[in-house]
Amino acid sequence: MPASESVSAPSIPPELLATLQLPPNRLHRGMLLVFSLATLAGLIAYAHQLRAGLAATAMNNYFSWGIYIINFVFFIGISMAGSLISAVLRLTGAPWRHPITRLAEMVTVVALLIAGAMIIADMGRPDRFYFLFLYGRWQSPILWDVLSLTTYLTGSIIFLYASCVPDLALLRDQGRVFAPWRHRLYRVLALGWHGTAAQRERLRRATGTIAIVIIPVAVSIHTVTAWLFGMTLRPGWHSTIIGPDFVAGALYSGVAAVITLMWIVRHTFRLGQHLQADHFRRLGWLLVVLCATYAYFIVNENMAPGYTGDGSEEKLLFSLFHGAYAAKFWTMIGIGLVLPGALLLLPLTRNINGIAAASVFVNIGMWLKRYIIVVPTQSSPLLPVDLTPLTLSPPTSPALTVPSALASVVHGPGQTIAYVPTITEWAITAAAFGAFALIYYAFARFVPIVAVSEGEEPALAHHAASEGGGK
Amino acid sequence: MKSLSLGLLFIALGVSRTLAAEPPAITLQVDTEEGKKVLVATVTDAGKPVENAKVAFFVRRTFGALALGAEVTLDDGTAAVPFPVTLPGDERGRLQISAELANRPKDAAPVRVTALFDGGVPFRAESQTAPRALWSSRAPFILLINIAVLVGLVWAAFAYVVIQLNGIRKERAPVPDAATAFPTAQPTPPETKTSP
Repeated sequence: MPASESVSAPSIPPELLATLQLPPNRLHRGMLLVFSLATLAGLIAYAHQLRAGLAATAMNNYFSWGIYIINFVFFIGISMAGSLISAVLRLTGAPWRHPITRLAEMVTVVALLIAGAMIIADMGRPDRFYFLFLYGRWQSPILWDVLSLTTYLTGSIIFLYASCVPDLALLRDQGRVFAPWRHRLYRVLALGWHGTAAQRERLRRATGTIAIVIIPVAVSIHTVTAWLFGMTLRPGWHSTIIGPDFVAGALYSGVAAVITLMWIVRHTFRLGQHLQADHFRRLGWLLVVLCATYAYFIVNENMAPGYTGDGSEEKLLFSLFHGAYAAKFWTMIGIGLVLPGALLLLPLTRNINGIAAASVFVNIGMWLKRYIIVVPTQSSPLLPVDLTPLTLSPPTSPALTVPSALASVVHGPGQTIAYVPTITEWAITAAAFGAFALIYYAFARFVPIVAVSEGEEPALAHHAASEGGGK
Repeated sequence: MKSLSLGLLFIALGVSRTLAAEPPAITLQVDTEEGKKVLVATVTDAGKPVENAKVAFFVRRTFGALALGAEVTLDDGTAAVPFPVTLPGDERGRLQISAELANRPKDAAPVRVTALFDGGVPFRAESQTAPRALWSSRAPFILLINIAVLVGLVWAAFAYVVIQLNGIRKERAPVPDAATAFPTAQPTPPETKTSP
């Protein structure tokens, strides 16, 4: 190639290059400190749990699943929308997708990593994860879930990487603006990309294929997670619609998570010119549709068991609507569905901040929804349990008798079946969110959080053509 | 004082007699009466037959003892129940039978005899492997096929994508010179003016 025909690499917009180059400012340092402390607290708590066993948690013979599984379902949920949004927008050729796709794909990968860690925390001994592969039964939904999770994680990493290749080449061609190790890493990861016609065709096949395959895989991961619950004969779980119910909930919380991340990235990295109000409005309308869809599923999941009035189902519904879990249930309905719906529909709040606030409410509400899914069912066991209220002293001393409000969740002398997470569990939960933020931040500091190459395909094509690499 | 010494002597004698007393003995055998096999237990005390003693018969099963019946001993100290010829035994048809003296005092040691007898139905363990089912250790073929096909198709697609990405590396253009690779790092040559 004659040197005279070469042109310089397409430039990365300075505001995007700054997200990769500039040292963390005071805001970033403060956030990093908070998230690092949360992660550190969780690691210490996990070390304690490793030493003490699952006795360090509030899980017991009634509550075999607790806050770790709540977090697992939550992170699996938000992971679903990332790749799905990106894949669907890519396949439908939506022109406004460019600033969102990279951000959404990163959500998927990081959320799946955290979800996997939650499974290991829930197992108590981490070697049990290894045993799952050695001695797992193919009939067990747990093995299906691990299989679909690893498949989805692998696919999502490939999807994210494939879409990053042209940008990695751009970063490689920026020269010595980065540290030598980082430049070497960009060079290796860029796969020798110069945007030749043959390379573009290869990349088109790769991204096209993975974008199609990732959609059913994304649906399957949350369906299989739902089957973990649905394949048991427990009230509230054993339902034929639990698969689509979980998928709808995952899409709802996932889109909300993407919008929340968009707002945070827009403000922390000052990317207002890329992540514009139009992007928020479009995703906001999608959130409205998903809000209505999920409300429809909530009506469905409660209507049939409430109408038939089967014993254990009726008891569960009573505890949700009027009993021990009513506060959490109605809070979930309020801040997970009603409030976001209002914020998204009212013209006054249909702006960037209003849509972002609605998304945050959705995320809180959907975490509560996962609590509602996991905990109340386990406090309604099918086998009869002694309903004698727990007393801490002889019954003649009313002062030490468990209050009647608690009596509905207390079954048997000396045995409580209420689940209240311990400090260890809360610390590990804090670490999950802290680690999510840290890993996401690290990603955002390594590759442009807004894809450059997708928006500059003509420039890349010109770059390749001028290099004479087209075949 | 004299009466106290006499009392202590009687107590000591009584204790020694009690300690020295042997519990009744029980033996078990199989006999045939009117062409039918019967289990016969014989209860003796100091070598003499014990009459009207209640004897319970048991046969050992997998999870415990199955009661065969209870009979009172006759004047010759024997009690009999029919032999359980229809019960499955071990591979040779042997049954582990016990006979125990019933109505013993609560704190007394049990008087029991246990023996193996031929005469049950020989048990032939079938060398049958567990069926393929959701509950067994071997998954149904249809489940395995479904999982293999679905997961195989997805991972095959992943492999195709990885091959395409690897192809990008193979399709690389000629390595650009340093000026192209590091355009921003090269010092810009001073602009020279040439006169026309």
